[in-house]
Amino acid sequence: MSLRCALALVWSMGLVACGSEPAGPQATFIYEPVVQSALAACPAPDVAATSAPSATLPEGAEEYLEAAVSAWSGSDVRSRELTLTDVQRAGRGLVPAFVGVVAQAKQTPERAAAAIAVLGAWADTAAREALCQALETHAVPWVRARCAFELGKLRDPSLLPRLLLRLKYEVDGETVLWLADALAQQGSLAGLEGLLVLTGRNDDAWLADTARAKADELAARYGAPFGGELLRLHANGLIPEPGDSVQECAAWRLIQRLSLFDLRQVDDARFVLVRMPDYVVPLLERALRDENRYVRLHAAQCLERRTARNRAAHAGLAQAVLDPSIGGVAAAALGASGLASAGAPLVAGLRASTAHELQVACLSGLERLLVSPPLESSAAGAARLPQATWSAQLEQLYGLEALCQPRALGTDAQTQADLPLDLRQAAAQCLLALDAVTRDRGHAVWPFLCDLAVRTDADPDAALRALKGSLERRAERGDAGAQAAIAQWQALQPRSGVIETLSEANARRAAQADIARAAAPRS
Amino acid sequence: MIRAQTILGSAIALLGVTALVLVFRTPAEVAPARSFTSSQQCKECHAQEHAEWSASQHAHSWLNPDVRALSNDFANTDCIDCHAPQEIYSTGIGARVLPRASRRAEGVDCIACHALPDGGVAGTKDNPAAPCRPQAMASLKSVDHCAGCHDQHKTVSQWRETQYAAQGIGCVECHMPARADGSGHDHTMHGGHSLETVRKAVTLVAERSKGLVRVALTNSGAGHHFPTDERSRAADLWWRPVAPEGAPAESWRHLWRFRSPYRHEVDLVDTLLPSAATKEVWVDDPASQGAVEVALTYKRTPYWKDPLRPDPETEAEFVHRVVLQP
Repeated sequence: MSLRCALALVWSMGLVACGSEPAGPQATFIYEPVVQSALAACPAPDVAATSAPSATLPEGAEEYLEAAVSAWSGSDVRSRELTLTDVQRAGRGLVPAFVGVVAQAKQTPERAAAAIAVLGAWADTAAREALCQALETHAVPWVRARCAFELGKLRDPSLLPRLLLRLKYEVDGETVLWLADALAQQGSLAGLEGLLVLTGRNDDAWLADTARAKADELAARYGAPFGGELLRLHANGLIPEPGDSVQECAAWRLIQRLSLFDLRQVDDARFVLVRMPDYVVPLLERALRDENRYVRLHAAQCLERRTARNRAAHAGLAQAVLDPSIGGVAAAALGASGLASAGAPLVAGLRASTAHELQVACLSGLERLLVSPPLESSAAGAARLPQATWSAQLEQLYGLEALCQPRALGTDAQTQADLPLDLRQAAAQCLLALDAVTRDRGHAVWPFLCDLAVRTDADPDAALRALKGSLERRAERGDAGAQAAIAQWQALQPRSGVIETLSEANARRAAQADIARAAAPRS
Repeated sequence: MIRAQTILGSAIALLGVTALVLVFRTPAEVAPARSFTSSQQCKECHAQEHAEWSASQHAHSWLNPDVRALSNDFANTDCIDCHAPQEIYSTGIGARVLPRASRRAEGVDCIACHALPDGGVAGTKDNPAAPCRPQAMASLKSVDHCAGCHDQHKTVSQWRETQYAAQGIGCVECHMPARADGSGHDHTMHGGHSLETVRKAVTLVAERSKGLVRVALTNSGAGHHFPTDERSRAADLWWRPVAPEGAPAESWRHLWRFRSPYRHEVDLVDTLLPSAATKEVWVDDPASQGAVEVALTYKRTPYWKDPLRPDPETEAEFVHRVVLQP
């Protein structure tokens, strides 16, 4: 046997050994210690000494406290200044004494209020920490409100992550008001939504009026006609939030927390990163290549939740769509942006991969993109994206119809067996969403989605949401049948605060599917 | 030259033997790899397990109206990680799960718990000829397998502190017991949605002592706190005088609540009842001198429609009731 024959034998045996599982082309992703490298360049965090409440006051403390209560009960500014000077001269050792007084707010509210004011005026590291801790943990709402007020006056960028996180948990209206105010003083509009909610409070006229005044003030500052419009512009990424990039190290520490086991800590970090100024977007984009899978995936989630405020990361997201470890979330982030530029990478992802997870994610991303209203693209919000560009993008998306329809909507048994139901559902919803930009594209998939709305092996709520969205769009265009259907549909929704049983939910889904069937678009 | 020929000849001989093994192996010995895109694919061969799982809360974790309401229709995307998780064997046993984009309606499904990264599944026996290529994996029954989701609410951490952990009694023994016919483990996975399971977890005692009514609840049967799913679950102790025959029932009077608060509820403390612990409450009320009824109720959403007038009869499930005569 010649050497050539032997090599040929080895080659053919190699083919046999490879079996019937040819590996598809796979992009290689190189991950790096992105977060670790970034944090290595950061100084150690400034951890302020926690001032535990002191039950026994240090010598002379009572005198200072009485002086503070007296000064802050009156309106004499000079008296307050002198008292503060005395307190500061007495030294940081007094901070735990004031913290102790704040802890007794239920018993001695006047003294607690004065103590908070002194801590706010004092404003050294320990005093700030004491105010932050009271804001985060004190059971008395007015204490938290006053702490938020005092912290806002400090305009300290290093407080931003903690103020933002408090928005997640705060339930007291006045505290939300002062949190929003504190954030706004640092150029953050993260509290605006809370302000707008407070304007609707009919149980507290002062709170509603003050919130309205602050929302109007913010709208005027940014050139918006009213608070609601400012919120829309902000959500669409049209209000720049440069922030203080000196705080990048704080952002990296938050990104590092995305790798923790405890989801609630991860949730906290995500909540803050979603609401931080624009400088975190490039950091999150870099984190998409981090060696830690959790960091990569949750960084993509943060970008998803920033919706249009993630536009600076689109290049990274477009690459990440092809990464099997995070492609689904990256696709969701592109879809959530509402920006026409997100369409191309989603279509590319759909065409490049045969992975079920990624195909579903790309289709869902495209659906979300299609039903989003076109956004203004300039930073100032003055110029609209040229319609031609948007239309050209849609032309590309029309390729989707050819790509999905014959496979996804085939009725023969073979197609149904070959293609997972959720993939066919995602494709059908995506095709239906096309009618958001060009009318009545979805009639072919309407019966299929109506059927899915009552199938236990499908996602009926997603199917119903897609059908309802299409009906609403037709209703907005003046379709009387769709308008009547929407009215019937809404009448079936459970009342606010009422949770349906499973059988009630199934009955409601079936009734809404019937309404949709009766309101099918005409081809 | 001779030495090179010897080596080459040996290599060819070795390869030839390998070729013979490949050519003459039994075709059915190894099933072709199969990718899983739906738990419906498991139904054909595992009808009983599929039927049990379909009735379980795991199967409903995406479409359950309670979940949809509490998660704001999953607009709170934090909930997706555990309610539609990626394959546990891909993210790692004991590691936190990650959310998936596909087949979300199937919730916590067969694939999430059993699928292996190489295309096979984790099972209790090796069977390379079966289409799903099961491999015996001890980790499938380990508490760490459940921990990625269930320790997010500290259930597994609570278990580690109990006598059950010391005795090696894990999640599966109580929540997926072996079927009586020896055909495997029950995939219904009873838990807090099963009143029978909740009843087995605790013992309620009411007795007269020192002229008062002593009410004691013992976590006598759960290998974790009662209730364990902190925040969203709550159990309450109540009492009421027994109304004379024919008279309308007295309203329930609240005694104690077992619950871990959400973090925004800064004025509440954690009152979950650890495994084997007893909570004792005393009724000191003149109305308790006559016949009284004591009850334990359970709620899977913690809030009452009217917090000032909670109505356990319509808003909670009665776990235990005890009537105490004068």
